[in-house]
Amino acid sequence: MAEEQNPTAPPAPAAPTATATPTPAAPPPIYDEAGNELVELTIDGQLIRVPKGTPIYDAITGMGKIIPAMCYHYTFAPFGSCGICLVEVEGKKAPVRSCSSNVAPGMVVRTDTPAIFQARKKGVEKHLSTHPLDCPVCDADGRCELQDMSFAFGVSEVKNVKQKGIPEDRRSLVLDFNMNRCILCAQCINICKDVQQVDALQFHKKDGFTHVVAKGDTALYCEFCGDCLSICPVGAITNKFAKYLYKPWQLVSTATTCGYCADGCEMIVDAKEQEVIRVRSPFSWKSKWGTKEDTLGGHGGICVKGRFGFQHINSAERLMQPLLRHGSGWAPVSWWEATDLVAGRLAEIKAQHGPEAIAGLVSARLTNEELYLFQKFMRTVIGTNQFDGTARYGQSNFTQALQAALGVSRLMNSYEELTLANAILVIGSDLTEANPITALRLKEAMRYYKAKVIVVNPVKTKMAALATHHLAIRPGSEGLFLQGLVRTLLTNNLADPAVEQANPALLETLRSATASWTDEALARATGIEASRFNEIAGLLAAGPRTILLCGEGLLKQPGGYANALTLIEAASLCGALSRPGGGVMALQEENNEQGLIDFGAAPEWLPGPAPITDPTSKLRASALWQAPVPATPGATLTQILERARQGAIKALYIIGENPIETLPSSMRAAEALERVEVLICQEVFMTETAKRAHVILPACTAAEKSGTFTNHEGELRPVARALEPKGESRPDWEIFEEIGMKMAPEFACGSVEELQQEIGRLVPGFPKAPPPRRLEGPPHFAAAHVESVTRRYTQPAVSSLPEHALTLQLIPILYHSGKLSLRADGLTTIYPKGRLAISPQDGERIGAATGAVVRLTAAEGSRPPVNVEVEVQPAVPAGLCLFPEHFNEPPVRELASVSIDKTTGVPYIKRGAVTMQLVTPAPIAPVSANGDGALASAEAAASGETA
Amino acid sequence: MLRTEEMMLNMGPQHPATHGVLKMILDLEGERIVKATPVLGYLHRGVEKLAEHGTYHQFIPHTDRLDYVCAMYNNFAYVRAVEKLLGLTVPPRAEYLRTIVAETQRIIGHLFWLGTQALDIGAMTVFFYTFRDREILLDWFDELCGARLTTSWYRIGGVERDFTPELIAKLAKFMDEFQGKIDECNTLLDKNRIWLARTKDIAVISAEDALSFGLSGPTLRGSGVDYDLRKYEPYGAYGDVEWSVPVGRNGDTYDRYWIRIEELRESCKIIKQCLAKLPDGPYLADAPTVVLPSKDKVFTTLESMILQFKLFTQGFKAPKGDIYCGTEAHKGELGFYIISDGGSHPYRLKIRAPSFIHLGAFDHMAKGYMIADIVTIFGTYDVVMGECDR
Repeated sequence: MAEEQNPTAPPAPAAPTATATPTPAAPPPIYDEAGNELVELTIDGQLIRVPKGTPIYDAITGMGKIIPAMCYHYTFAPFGSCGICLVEVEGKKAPVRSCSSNVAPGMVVRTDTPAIFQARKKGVEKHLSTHPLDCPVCDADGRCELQDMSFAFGVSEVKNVKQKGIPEDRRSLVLDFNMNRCILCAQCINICKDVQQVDALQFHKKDGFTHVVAKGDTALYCEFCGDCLSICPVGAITNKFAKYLYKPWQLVSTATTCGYCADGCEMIVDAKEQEVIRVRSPFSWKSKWGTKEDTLGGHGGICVKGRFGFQHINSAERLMQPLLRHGSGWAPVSWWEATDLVAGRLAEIKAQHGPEAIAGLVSARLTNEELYLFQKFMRTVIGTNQFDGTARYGQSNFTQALQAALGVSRLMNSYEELTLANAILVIGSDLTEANPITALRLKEAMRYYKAKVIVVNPVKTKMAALATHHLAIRPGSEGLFLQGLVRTLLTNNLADPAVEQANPALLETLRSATASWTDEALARATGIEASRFNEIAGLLAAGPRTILLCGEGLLKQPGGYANALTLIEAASLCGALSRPGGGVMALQEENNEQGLIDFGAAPEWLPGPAPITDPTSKLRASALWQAPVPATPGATLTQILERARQGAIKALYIIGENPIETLPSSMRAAEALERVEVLICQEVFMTETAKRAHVILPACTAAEKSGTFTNHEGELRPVARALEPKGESRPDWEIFEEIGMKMAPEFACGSVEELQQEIGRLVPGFPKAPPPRRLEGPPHFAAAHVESVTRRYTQPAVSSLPEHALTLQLIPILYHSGKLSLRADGLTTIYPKGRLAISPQDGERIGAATGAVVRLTAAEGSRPPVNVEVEVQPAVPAGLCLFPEHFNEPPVRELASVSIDKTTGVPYIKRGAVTMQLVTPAPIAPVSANGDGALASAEAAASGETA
Repeated sequence: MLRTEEMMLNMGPQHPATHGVLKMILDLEGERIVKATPVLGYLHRGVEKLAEHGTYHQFIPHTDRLDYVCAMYNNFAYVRAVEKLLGLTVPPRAEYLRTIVAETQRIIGHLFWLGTQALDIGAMTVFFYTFRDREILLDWFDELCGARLTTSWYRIGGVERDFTPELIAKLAKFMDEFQGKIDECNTLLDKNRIWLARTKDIAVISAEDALSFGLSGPTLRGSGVDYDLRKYEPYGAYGDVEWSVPVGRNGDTYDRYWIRIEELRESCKIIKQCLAKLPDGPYLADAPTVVLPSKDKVFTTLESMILQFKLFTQGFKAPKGDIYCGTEAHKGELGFYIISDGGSHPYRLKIRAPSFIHLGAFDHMAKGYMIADIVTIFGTYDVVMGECDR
């Protein structure tokens, strides 16, 4: 059965107040409490007051009435193209479009008369008269506003039927445009322009008809968020991947949380039996009624990864049953046999070599419940802290810095706070690529709430282009920039007095550490002039709602931990931490990195999160688990690999983590894994790491299990099971439970709900309420932190590279997430292979245009050179080249230099210095955007069809 | 001295004379019935529950399978109930078409009853005569709507398709000949000593008892109660034509037989008059959001396709409320009680099936008769278990 029609009633936007007394003929101006001028008018016999300048439509919906409209959506300004929202205004002969005319004093409006019904019906008939007769093959059939309207008005006879006969525009990679069905409501254009602020679509007159086309009538290549697809009230824009497959009522829809990044967006998975057919967003033409305030926390959209990156769930390459190494191949075994073997071998090794001979690595793509159960398994059943998770690649820097500086583990801001912030500093994060839905909050903050957004990035990213301020710092000088900011806040006396009062020692130390610095030295090292520092410091200190955002570009680059400390200092000094609505937060690339820390799946944390050194938390955990928390300090990712290489670790249990493909080969992860006696891999796919395992346990994806993820806001987002696990694969927690029970019977947990109850006893409120994410009062810095200042604040120095060497950075891109998305056809269609982004200057210097192949050689060390195709991007500054971290082919990641953070053990593997020579010049034919011929071939296919 | 005791005899559910599957537990004293307990539910299919999960249109085919001998009248009773819920008026031609087909169905029903009741009692010849005539009408149904038994010809707001001139001619010809055929069957029975002995004073029920058991149709009128919804709450075209309600005196099986024979003649009268007066005009109401669009337009115009699609996938929304609508089917009062919560399917749909109500009086009417009469008594209600168990 197709879905119900629109939601029952729109919420009141301006809360119009009904009054009983009629107004005199010439009403004096009325004002509300805030001093806005009000207009009094009558709608359907009811006298109401609304702010001056309100469209009649909003005044009506504010009363709780719904009048039909097809081109209206509350997320953007009324467009007035559909001609359905007609009302009768006394004194006007013809019906009036209520969305595009404003209220006037004394106006008398009627919304429900037979004449109006007929006028609206005529409007619907007009749309139907040019609409093709193809409901049976249309994807929107059953989810079509034109059908709904036609039925609601009982249209039974349409005259002057005229077909457009426009061929379908199939040039785009993921969307098809059928302009015969288009009703020209322009919602796709408006959402792209006003909400996404990408502005990729336009109206275009061609062959006597108006079309919706990509800007410049080319093949659409945009961010592919798919909001245009969602908002299309008819079937004019269709999804290539779900086209012609099923009708909406044949699919089972499940609302769950996206598993790509920590934006934690709600998405609706439409499945047919055991296959995901498509993914939808809660945002659609059906979610039409609301006010601007409703989008403070997000408009309900999802990004390209969520919408088009689901095919890995259906993949035939999924691991379907437990495998046991058998000589050079694999033998399928039963679950019983596999878990028996794993439990037996682990028990044996524990008995023989002690618990420290066993270690574990876990991915942050698991649910909170599973991460909790994993650490409980390691700590109680095995008896070791020797396990680590993928938060180690960066997020640990932030949480450990918070812990060291302020004694807290979580500081987060909600999306509402981001939208309403006055000043936002974005450093080391390319939001629109890594966290596109969070990026929308910043876009809205800028456009509608006039926030100042300061993007600090060597590259002129999309966000930098939209931002009010873009500081193109020298590559790698993020930390120094932040220190310079701290210095400026101090020298300009902008430091928050409350912070100064609470931490006199810190400020004193900071002042003395930077006293000898000169503006010139700082400008040389960072590329930012003193005047810019002053301006930014002024903006951030003025606030009052100031938020400092960082991401992988700060935390995953060398010095990430120190940089995080400086960021926290900067945030404190400008008052972000002591004023409501402000804050400092780190954006995570993997969906549950914060959850991994919150639920203790890292050696230094207990669930809560609480530092493992905290005796009370330790006592509480051991009381609940009825087992002591191991006293050993545990080990981080790199330490575990090192110990494995030395032969100290006999058994390694890896869940969803893939060190061989993630770490450069210089870290010798493969060697370490080959050394261990028992390598257990719990995986969804046969990764390079899994290929070396002795036992493979097939796990299922997030679409096949239930639980929670923790997003950037620190909120718990529900994960719901949309499918039964594929093949014999099982949710990770079930596997932990079975192995755990075979080693210690009391480990049984029963179900996800029971597990949640257990966690609720350590983390109060779970799974309803997240752990606290705010400071009480102004920040108080620890004494040890104050001591670290002198070590960190050294004279600004220009990091020098050999001549003509470039800084190489491995970056996340919009169309991929980790390695998982490479298995999603939707995303590999859009972005099939990694290309090196270089600046026009560097391109010109070596004679390489887009499409040319260059040889990259590491500036230091002896690593084999790598040939890679380049893409010249004007946004990239000279001296910098960027490569998407998701692609291991060509092996550009091998050129990154490796260092390991002394405090947090974070491996820095995303930056290096390279030199570049031209190998093959670019082909003659120009290749656009993400070329590789995908577009060219699509265009050829389209033109071939019309020919 | 011989030891005597009551005997309990199980009859059915697999028995050729149970008109479906009915089990009866008979307590016998010798050959005399002390107590007769019908055990129902062998043909239960959850039809009322099914109604809650489909649109109003989608339930029409389910009604075919209630009293599967007389699908047309079930369709009629159901669409009348929905139309009452919606407050929908049906065009005059549709009312006439509906009445004609409903009375044709009554003739089929009574012929079927007559044949099987006589067969049950032992008069086989009648069965062949009645089924001969029934076949002609079933073929006529086939020509009308493409099915002999599961007709689904009635639609909310009218009927599925109009009569063709051939259909009208065929029906008129049949009706001209039918009076003689009724006599033909009747000759075999009304002076037949066995028939008289086995029907007179068998299963007698007084007018008061019949009323308090809620009996209806020929079963009630046999006891002398002049009650016929067609006459006293006229619907369709019954108000426009001349006909009378035959009423019995004794309340026995013979009177009920006599009433049914007379009703055959009355039906014939009604049909002939309706055919003569058949008005022109549409056969479906003009209510695009309720009435299914005609098939020839569905694949040629967009608006009709959308209406068709919407009505079949989502259905129309009925106003909130509850209604009861009784219709005089040939077995008795067939009623539909519908509760609507304002949605596109019934919130609850209850069927008042005459067969079910009549079996409530079974013990009362069977008590004291001989075991050999049990089949007569059972047959006298014209029970069809498909309707009784639903």
